Amino acid sequence: MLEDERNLIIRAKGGEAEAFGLLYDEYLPKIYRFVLLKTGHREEAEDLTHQVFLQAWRNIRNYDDRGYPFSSWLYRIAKNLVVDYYRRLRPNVSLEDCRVFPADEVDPETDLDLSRETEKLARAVGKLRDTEQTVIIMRFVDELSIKETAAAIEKSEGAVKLIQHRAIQKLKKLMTEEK
Amino acid sequence: MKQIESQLKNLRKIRPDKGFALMCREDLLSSTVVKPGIDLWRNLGLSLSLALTAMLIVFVAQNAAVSSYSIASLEKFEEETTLSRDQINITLAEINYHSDLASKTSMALSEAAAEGPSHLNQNLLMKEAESLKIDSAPDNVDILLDQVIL
Amino acid sequence: MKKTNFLIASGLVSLIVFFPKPVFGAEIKANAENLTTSVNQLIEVKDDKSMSDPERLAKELEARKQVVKDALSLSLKEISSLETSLKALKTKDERVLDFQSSSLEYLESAKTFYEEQSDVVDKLASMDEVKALAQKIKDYRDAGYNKKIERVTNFLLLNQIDGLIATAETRWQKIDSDLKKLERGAFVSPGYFDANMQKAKKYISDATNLGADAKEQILKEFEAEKISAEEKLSLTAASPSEDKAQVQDNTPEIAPKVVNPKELAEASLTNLKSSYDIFLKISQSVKKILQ
Repeated sequence: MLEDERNLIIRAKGGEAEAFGLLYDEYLPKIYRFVLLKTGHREEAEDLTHQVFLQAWRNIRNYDDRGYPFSSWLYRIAKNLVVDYYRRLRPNVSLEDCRVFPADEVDPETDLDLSRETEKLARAVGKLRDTEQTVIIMRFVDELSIKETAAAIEKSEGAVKLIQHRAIQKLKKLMTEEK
Repeated sequence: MKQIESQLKNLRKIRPDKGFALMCREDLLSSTVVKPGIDLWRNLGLSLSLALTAMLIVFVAQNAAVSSYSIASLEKFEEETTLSRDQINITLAEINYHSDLASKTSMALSEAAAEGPSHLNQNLLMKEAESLKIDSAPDNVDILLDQVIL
Repeated sequence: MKKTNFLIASGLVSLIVFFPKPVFGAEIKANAENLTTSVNQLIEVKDDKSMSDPERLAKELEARKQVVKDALSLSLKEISSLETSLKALKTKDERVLDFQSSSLEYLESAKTFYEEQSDVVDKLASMDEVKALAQKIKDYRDAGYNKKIERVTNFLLLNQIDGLIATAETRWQKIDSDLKKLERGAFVSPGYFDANMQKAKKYISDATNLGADAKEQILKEFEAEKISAEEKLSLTAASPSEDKAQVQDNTPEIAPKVVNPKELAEASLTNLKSSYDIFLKISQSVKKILQ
């Protein structure tokens, strides 16, 4: 969580754009990653991410932080927008067609094989069921707590643990099959 | 499990394009004009002047950008909109195509299964129409009628 | 600044224009024309009184066979095209997945049927045999094939419509964003285009709902038919002493059909077209303003 996030949220609710801008800076990479891993298409991910923050900024006055983390609220908006996107059943361009790691963005010290391996993993994540995907991304990629994840997907903490366990097992199997 | 977890952490390398991040931020923060209220007077300070400066920069940038709208861009937009409309028309046509196809095949098979010609067949009717000689002689009417009916 | 200008200008221009692949492509249209030709030829032969009887009968036999062959060829092409489109469907919806797999299974069985008849047709030597085969194929199609294919075709077309709706929505959003910029730049009075944009939004929303209703109708019909077929099978299994009637694909009498998916799809597209009419009007107005 961003330091003094609560204060920023209060200021953003008061209409202070700069405060929301700082929240945006903090959460943009996470929301973008979440959406990209779910849609598999960079352009769509950018559009949807933009929509997430637009919606958040327009509705921030309605956000109530009583026991409900801001990150969970953003993820919930993102999740709903992704569901709408799937409902429209747009042609799904697979990750094979748009490299998630353009070569010039890869850390030069990183072995190229590692990048390919990570792409393989991203593809495997894409093959999970929707809720499993969501839990994996939130828990392991963005390191949300079980509580934050549960709030975002509107399930109990116990359910999140179970989904997480099943998803990991499936990922292991998918990664083995790809070899 | 640990290996998968550490590999998943690698996915954190996924980052949005810097250009997109910047444009998105600018667009976002300029999408509502903040009307200074009582809070503004309460929070005078560095953050306020930064916010005002940012808004001023964005306002100037927006005007410069909008003035670069070209008629050519709008025409291209119209072209693409027309293309989308064409796609809609094509899909509309497709909706009825299948049922037409099914009827056609059914009629074809009926023809192959049945005795005698189909009297609604186009070629047949056109052939007959050509051979019809319309004249005022009443004697020919019965002959003509026979040709059409049989 | 340059990037801003570029992005705003390209905002209106670089929309993803959705080009749906037609469900029935050029090959099917060509096959359909062949069928029309062979039917016309058959009719001409049947009606040709200039030939001797033996000559006419021989020609008629060949002409009938050709019609049957062309009908089979068209059916097989139709199946192949639908299989390709069905397999390309990407979804996580369980009901759609069920529909997809069940439809593919059915298409496979239909393909087998048509291929078997194709093997037979050339070997037939008598007029009666050819007529009987033509009737058999017609009966097969009337009994259930046509209805099922129509359902699959409509579903696939509705998917295409979803793509067109998505393009319209994206376009709406980008136009909305650009109009706001025009307002901020005082090129346009605030709210000048609001009524039009709301109207366009309503058209798109209606198009979405109509499309969704159509899909729902198709899925419900499919599910009702599936349940009925399963019930029939279980009844047949429960009473083995009775004559086991062939499991006909008779669509059960479900609750009166309130809507026709085809009509809903057409209505959806008509609404979508109306939204584009508005986009074009707005574009023309903006052009006038900027000139």
